Amino acid sequence: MSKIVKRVTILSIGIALLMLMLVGASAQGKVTLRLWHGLGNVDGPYFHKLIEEFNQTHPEIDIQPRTWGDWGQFYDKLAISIKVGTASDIVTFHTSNIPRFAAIEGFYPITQEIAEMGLKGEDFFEPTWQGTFYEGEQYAAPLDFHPQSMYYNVKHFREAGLDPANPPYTLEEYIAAGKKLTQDRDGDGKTDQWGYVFNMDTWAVQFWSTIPQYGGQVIDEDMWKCLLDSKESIQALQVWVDMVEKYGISPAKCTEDMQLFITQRASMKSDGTWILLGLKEQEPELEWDNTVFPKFGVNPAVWVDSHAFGLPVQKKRDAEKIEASLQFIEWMVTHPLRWVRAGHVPANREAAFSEEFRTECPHQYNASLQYAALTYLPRTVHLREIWSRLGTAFQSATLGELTAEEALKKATAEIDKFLDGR
Amino acid sequence: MKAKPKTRIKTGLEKSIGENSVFYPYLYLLPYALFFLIFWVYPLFDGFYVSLCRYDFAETQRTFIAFKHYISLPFDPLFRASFINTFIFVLETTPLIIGVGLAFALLLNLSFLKGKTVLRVLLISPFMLSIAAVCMTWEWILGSQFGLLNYYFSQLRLPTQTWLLEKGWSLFAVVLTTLWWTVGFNTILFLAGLQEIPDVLHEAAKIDGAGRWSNFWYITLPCLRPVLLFIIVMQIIASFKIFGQVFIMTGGGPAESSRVMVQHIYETGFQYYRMGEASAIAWVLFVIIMVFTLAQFKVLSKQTIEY
Repeated sequence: MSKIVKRVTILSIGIALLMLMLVGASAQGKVTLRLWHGLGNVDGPYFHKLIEEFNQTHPEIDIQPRTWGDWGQFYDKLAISIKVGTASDIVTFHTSNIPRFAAIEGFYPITQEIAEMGLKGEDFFEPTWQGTFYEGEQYAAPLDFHPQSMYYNVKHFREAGLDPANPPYTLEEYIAAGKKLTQDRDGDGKTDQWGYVFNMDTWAVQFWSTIPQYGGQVIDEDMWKCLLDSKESIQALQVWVDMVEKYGISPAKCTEDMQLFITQRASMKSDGTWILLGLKEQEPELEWDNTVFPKFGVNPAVWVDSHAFGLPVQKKRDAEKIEASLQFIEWMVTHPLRWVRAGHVPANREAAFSEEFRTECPHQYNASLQYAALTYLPRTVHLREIWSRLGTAFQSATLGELTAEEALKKATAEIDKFLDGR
Repeated sequence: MKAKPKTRIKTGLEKSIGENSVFYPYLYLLPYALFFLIFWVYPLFDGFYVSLCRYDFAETQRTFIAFKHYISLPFDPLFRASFINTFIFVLETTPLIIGVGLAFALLLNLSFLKGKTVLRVLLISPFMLSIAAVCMTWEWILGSQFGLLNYYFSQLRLPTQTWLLEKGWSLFAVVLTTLWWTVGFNTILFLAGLQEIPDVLHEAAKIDGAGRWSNFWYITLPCLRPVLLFIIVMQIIASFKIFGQVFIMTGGGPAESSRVMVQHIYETGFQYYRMGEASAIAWVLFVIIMVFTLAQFKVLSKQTIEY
């Protein structure tokens, strides 16, 4: 009897040890990665679906995504988390932020790792690829680019006798079209349908686009002197003021541009490509199309930024996690057409020029046609502060509190103050 | 014969911190005191030291620059704007929220009023909402093109307003939102204070021929002095610390017209990474609040009320 008990005990211990080893092995084999991003409620859920697909096809890796819902809060949180060593293992972020984060040693340089993936500069749009570098090191793998695009109401165009297949491009064409589209439909003396609507919020990307169009610059090449008070930049701001005051085709004091466009109370609006899926949801009531951003000045130029993947610096470098993160990055970047359906343009040239992209993502394709005019933000560590001052200048001028010249001179003086001596 | 109780000889440690020791009560305070020292006192003074340094995120070393940040603050137009806007907000919200809170409390204290419980619930329920929910709701209500308020204004053929995009109006919109959100809390405090006042005082005053106004002015208000002091102090501190409503609803705009000090601290420190300058602004705000609080204690707590 005692022999049987002894054997059962030994067998039980053996089974228990085996199970423990198996459990331990599976836990050890699965790498869990935290991924943070700030994608919104349109492209965010689409991104999570892709992550789910990756997790299913890569059982050894478990990526746990988290959105901060807002890019501003995402960047604030990320900087602090990096500083205290609690940032996520991977982030999806904008390449325009690389100088800021490189300055605080926030991301691991991955020049070598990206080369090992077989990614080469010539395969990508040049400014998009260059945007992932800072001071000779590559900090991110480029995923897409998302420029401003012009969206217009096809039905309104037809009603106003405009050709939807031939949307306006120059300032003169916009003013002419805008005047035809701006209408008082019920005859009460108030405009019910605006020709062109733009957002007066501090996030003045449309103004960023027009500065290089008129030959202006935000900051000099050395990132030392603000050049916003030049006559070219003033001209670039004045054109937006004139939309409201001189031509009367845009509503004053408006931040509800998207709602106005969706409810068909505005015929044209400029915005990033990330709104594409949102507009698709409004079909068929809203008949819309998009085209390249207008050329108001002398040069074609359009604001653009890129989503990319970076690896935030951790308290302790974990080679296994980095390896798994790179595997995910490679999966995403080498199959760009998966992601761009969320409303973006592939950073990879071959994918952007492919027949599949042109036929399956026609609106993204329309936006991609301005690839030669892409204008990224200045590569300075002070980008966020410059952005804020520029936005205030845009607001002050479009709200009529200051003239375009006064607003930009004020912004220049303020920006120069923190650029000097730093 | 009864056995003699055993007497234990106390050790030196027991003598010094035992039950009969003067230090014994402080042992109970020790855990909190440690917590307080580590997480409150140390950061406070370390923050002051940081305010005397040039300390950016990019720099690992703090460079001591004495009072340079404090000296340059008055010359920074954004600091000036946030300083002025914060004072305007304090001046607008404090009397408004306290006055309306007191008015509601007096109303709820009326003996003949029916449905008091429902009214109390209605008044306190906004205070239970998160700041994000409150601000997003009010952003929608005050929207210029699709806002609820403007919709009713246009139905009544009244001129519509761009509440959040107009200099002057934007900060006032934040004041209104704050009033709606927090007035219930003050009402409940005032109500508790009113219910503490013995009825006999009002009755005696009535017999002496005092009217409603005299009753309020000479009986109610003096008796409410401790509650009033508490509410004024708390309200002024809360108003100086305004941040969430502005950050969500206006972002400090339009054109910095609603920018406030805490927002300026947040952006300078966590967005522009200038921790030294941000700490200096935080200390300026701390001193302002401290001065105001001490002044209020001095002015309002001179007389004590005895029933």
